[in-house]
Amino acid sequence: MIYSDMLYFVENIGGKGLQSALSFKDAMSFSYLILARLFDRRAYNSAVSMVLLNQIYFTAVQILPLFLTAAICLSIAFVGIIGEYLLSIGLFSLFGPLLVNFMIAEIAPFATVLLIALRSSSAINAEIAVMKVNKELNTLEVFQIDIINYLFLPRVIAGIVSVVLLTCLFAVVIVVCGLIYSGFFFNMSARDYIATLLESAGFFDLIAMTVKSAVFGFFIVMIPIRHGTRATDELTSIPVAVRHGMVNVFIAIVIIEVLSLVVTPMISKLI
Amino acid sequence: MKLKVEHKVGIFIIATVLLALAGLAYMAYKKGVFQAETTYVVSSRTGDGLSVGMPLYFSGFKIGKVKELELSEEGLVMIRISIPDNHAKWIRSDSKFLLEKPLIGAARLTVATKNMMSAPLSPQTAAVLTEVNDINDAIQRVQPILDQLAAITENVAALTNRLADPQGEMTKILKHSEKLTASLSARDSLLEMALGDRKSVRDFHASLRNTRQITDQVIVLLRKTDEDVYGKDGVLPMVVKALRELAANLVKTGATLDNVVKITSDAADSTKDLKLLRSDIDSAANSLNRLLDELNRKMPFRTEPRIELP
Repeated sequence: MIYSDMLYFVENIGGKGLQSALSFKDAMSFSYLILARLFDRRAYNSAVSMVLLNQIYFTAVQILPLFLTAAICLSIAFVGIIGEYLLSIGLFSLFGPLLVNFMIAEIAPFATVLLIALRSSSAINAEIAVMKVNKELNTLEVFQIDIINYLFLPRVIAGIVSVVLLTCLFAVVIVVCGLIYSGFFFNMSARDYIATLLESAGFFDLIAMTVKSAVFGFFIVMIPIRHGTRATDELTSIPVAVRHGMVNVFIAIVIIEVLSLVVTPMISKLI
Repeated sequence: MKLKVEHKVGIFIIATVLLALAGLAYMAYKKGVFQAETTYVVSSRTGDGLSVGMPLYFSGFKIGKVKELELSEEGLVMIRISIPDNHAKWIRSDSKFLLEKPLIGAARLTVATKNMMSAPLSPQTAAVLTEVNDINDAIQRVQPILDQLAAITENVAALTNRLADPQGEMTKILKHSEKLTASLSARDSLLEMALGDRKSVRDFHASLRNTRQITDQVIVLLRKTDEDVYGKDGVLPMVVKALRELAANLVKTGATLDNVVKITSDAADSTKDLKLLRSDIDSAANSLNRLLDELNRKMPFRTEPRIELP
């Protein structure tokens, strides 16, 4: 009895492992396909541009009020906590490095990608799943319209552009909030504040932040699209596809964040 | 006027990109990316602690960074340090390049210039890097302590060798202790071990018992003596009583003596009168003598003595 239970347990783990490996392979193949089209000039036409424009509007512009409010609140909270804590332990000299290396390089992309994922990834996932259930994807194929070029590529590009630009905007908000907060509460002049930031900031850190944001943008759109296309013909498969897609999006965000923390210092040393 | 989607997206992209580019450009400007640089060469015997990108400090301010490290034909490490032209004025021919290696923390490359009036350092001239090593200093300071520790360790080793020596004093002491404990375990008591045999122990106990009896008798005697001396009818109260009576008698004797003193003084006064009487008699006798002498002188009742010759 125990032997059979153990066998079942091992089989279960093996099955899950195989399923995960196949899923990962499938995701990588799909990523490669999207990336290949991303650098293919023939993939771009006026229809793609129109979809891209709309996607950037939905993903980045429409969210701006909410995004700016969240960015300001988070920036003030983090700058205040970090500044007060450093002041209390007598290490205020680390204010600049922490603001640059923690707030701008880590918090800005992470918070941005979370906000975009919550709002747009779920929407894209549901949209593609609904299209699949309604057989719209099949219809496009029947009319020989490349769904990767017409549907997926503009969304992926919009995701990358939106996350990168919103991350830059978040970084600007952090710098401005830090300037105001440190001026009011830490009696720090604007000149000292800027000098501290400049002393701590490096071009590599900013490049790394931008690349990380682009990677975030790519995966938080690509994963929902892939899971959306895996919906069946039944309406009930839509929430299932959205749930799987969103769970995988958050797993991908964590993996990318951890990988960036490991890889960035290594590349920094090499350079 | 309601903006079209294209306009909104365009404004968003342009504004964000401009903001980011402006920030980057300002940062690049402030970091001296657009500034001309002068590269100085500094030679060092070792490249230990040096790395490309390492900042160069002057008076605590970062003024340049290590651009390149290479090995010369002579085996020296040639350090190429790029310094923006606005900071190049701090580098003079007598400037000293120092590699400070603190006890804790990373090495720090600094340049110190004493005489700012000296000639600027030529980029073609290789300055020499001096190493300031806190670790070596610390080792030099700690060395005497380490020597002392080594001596102590040697002493401890010698001590343990002595302890481990089968013919050593410690082994002897341990053997004696063993014998002593064996002997102690074979005897009933320490007293038996000290006295040698059981008969002596019994005698000792008998002596102790006798001593105890004597002590008891002495205690009884002392109690009796105490009663006789300090008791109600003891010697001491009687002596005290006698002494009190004697004191009273002495007081009376004192009064009597006062009377005697008075009588004596009176007698002394009487003696003074006798002295006067005697002086009167003496003066009368003298007057009589003088009268007799006068009479003898005026009336010679007596012949002059003569010397009769044979």
